[in-house]
Amino acid sequence: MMVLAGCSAGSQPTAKKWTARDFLQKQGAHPDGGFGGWMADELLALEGAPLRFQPGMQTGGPGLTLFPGISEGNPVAFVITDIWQDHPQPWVQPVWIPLDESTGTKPPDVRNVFPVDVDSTFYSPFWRAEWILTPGLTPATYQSARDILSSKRDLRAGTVILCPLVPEGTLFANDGTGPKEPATLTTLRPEDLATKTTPGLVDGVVVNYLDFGLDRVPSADNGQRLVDAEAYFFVSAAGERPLPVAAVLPDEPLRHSLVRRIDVVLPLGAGPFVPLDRPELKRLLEARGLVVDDVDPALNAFTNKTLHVAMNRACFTPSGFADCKWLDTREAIAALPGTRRIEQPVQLAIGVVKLP
Amino acid sequence: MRALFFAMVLAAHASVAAEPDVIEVPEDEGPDGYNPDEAKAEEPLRLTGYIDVGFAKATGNGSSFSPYDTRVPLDYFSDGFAPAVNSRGDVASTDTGGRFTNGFLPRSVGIGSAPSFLINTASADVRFQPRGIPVFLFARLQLMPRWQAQGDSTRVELQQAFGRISPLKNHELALFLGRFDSVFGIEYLENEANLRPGITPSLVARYTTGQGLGAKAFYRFQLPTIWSAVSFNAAATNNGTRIEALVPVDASLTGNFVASGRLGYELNLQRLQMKAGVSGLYGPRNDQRSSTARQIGWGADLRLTAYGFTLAGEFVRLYDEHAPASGKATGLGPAELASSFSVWGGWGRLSYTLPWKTEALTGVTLYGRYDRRLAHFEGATYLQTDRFTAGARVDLWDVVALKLEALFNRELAGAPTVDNDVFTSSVVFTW
Repeated sequence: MMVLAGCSAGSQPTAKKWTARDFLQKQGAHPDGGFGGWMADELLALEGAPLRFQPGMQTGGPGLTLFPGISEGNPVAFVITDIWQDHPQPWVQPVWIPLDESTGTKPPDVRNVFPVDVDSTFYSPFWRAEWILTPGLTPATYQSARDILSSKRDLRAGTVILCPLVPEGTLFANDGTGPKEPATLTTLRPEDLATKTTPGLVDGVVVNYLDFGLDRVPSADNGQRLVDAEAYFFVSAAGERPLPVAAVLPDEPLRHSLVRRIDVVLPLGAGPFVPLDRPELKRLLEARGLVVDDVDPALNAFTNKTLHVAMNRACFTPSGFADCKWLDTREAIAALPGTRRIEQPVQLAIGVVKLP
Repeated sequence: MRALFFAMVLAAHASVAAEPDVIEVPEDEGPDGYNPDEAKAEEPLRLTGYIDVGFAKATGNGSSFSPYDTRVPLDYFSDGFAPAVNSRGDVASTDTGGRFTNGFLPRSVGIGSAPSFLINTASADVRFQPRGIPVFLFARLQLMPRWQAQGDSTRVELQQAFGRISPLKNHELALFLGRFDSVFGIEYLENEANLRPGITPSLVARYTTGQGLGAKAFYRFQLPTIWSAVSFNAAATNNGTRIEALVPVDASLTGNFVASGRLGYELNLQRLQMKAGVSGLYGPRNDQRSSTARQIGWGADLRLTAYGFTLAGEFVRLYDEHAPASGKATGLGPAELASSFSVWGGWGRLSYTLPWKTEALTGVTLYGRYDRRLAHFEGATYLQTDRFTAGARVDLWDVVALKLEALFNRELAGAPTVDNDVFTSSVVFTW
């Protein structure tokens, strides 16, 4: 066979997608720029690995890192479940939820059916719930998309849910005392965070997912496409990876689980607040090249400002703290010079957990 | 053309003899799928062509798309090519109702499930062969009147345009430059409605029957002592061998070329003809800009003709690598991502030509075909489909071909069962 070689056309950026399975499988890998800006071991901790934003080691299987965030001025915790870089906007696939027609409920061991696994180019953790009422429903009734669609039963479409498919047993950062919001170390309530993975089916094969619930992202194009929102991540300089400080998330964060990474270059003199009783956070930030001054122990009470960035870190004193200008709202960030906000070709699926 | 048709499909006496001073276009070389037989031309310039008028009715909604199916992209989960209505492979409908697709669709005649007359193709050929010069020029312009929901969608296509040089007087060597038929397998030989014994192409025709733009070489040598011949056919093209709806033909998006070729053997006995070949394909997939994502394929084909029966079949295996960048280009427009893809499939057809003819009734052929295809897009479910086809063709005065065909499509795995059978007919007037 004859092969004629010519000149290659101009290169385009590679469209990349990483899921929780990649976070698990690529532990220890440190590619340039990370996975959309984060290293795998920053996104997920293996059993026994040190936790990123709190003391202690991961227990109970792999755990997605709980990141500090701010929305509407309040601390929230979030996990990053999937990342896209230089990638078209993620799509929404259906997930079929079988219900018994007579009771309107899902019998035990009847599983939700997903059309694709994470290997699909068109996988995203966002699914449009479609309920299918079926008489005499058993766990064997529906094993695949073909079973569902060939049944020709009415499908009742619902809202978009966030259910990332994850390796079995993957939960959240946990030192054995329960997942915690990283800034305040407030223990998160089980009703706000899945306590186990749930089995589902793809073509008869069991997959596992984390259920973050309904109505997690606005959609467009007849519900086929998602509408993302801006999320602000602080960086020390343009082109650097996000710093481990509190990200500024959209308002109504539970409804905006698809976000676009906007980097905010730290202004000169700006820095995150770290209470003196959180030395693990100080070490974390110093490892990324930030200067973290020891603050007065009297400020330890301001846990809800932990890892928030102030315009002038010199205000971290008992007398000046009340006058700190915080970069913890969209408005405060919008007031920065435009050159300090850099939109990245990165989108994230985030599971947000509000504090109790 | 008539001679070629009978040689390929009906005939029991295909000739492989070459004129002593002019290379005859070999029948399974298929430089244009329509043997110009220019060696016998009276005039250097000739105009030929055909008009294919169809009448078709598809069941269901005319497409393979279940109204219940909201998976995306929809064309990854259903075989949109199944409800074909004509020899171009156009389907009754590709209407998805606004559901997202990703560039794996055929062209459509837009009739849905309504029975409709169609001008499938109006095709005009221009051939020019100066006397005494081993150069042959050929161009085929086709008009496809179509209507779609947005209005008139009539298309004009320069389906082939090539020059051919036959540099050696005593060897069957031909070099082509331009846009020409595929060299992969055998189904491309029946691309044109007047040549195809039936009406619709197989479920794997989309991968092997596309015209290519580039360069091609054909060589055949005879082994007269054993009534045999061996042929080589190789091409380097922008696009490979897929149909233009799937891959752009007129430009190389990667800057590299796709190599394809076929090695053929033929045995020509008095009462039995056998032709067999193996084909291969390798190069960048031309539906995106990166040359690192390759398309790889191979196939095998066989034709046996004896006592009025013709058994023909083809097997195809293809693999596309995942393209790294966003964007996918097709003949139908841009799409989002070029996922990796694999397929195997094939078809087998048994036809019988009745052994009698009259001045008006110049041929009657009955045939049945079985197709099967297993395809898989990256991370999507395996989609297995098959199809039973039955039909008849009646030739009148060697100018008119009347064809009737029924297609029974089945979704065996991956796709929901849908009603997408087709009953179609075609009258082809050749001039």
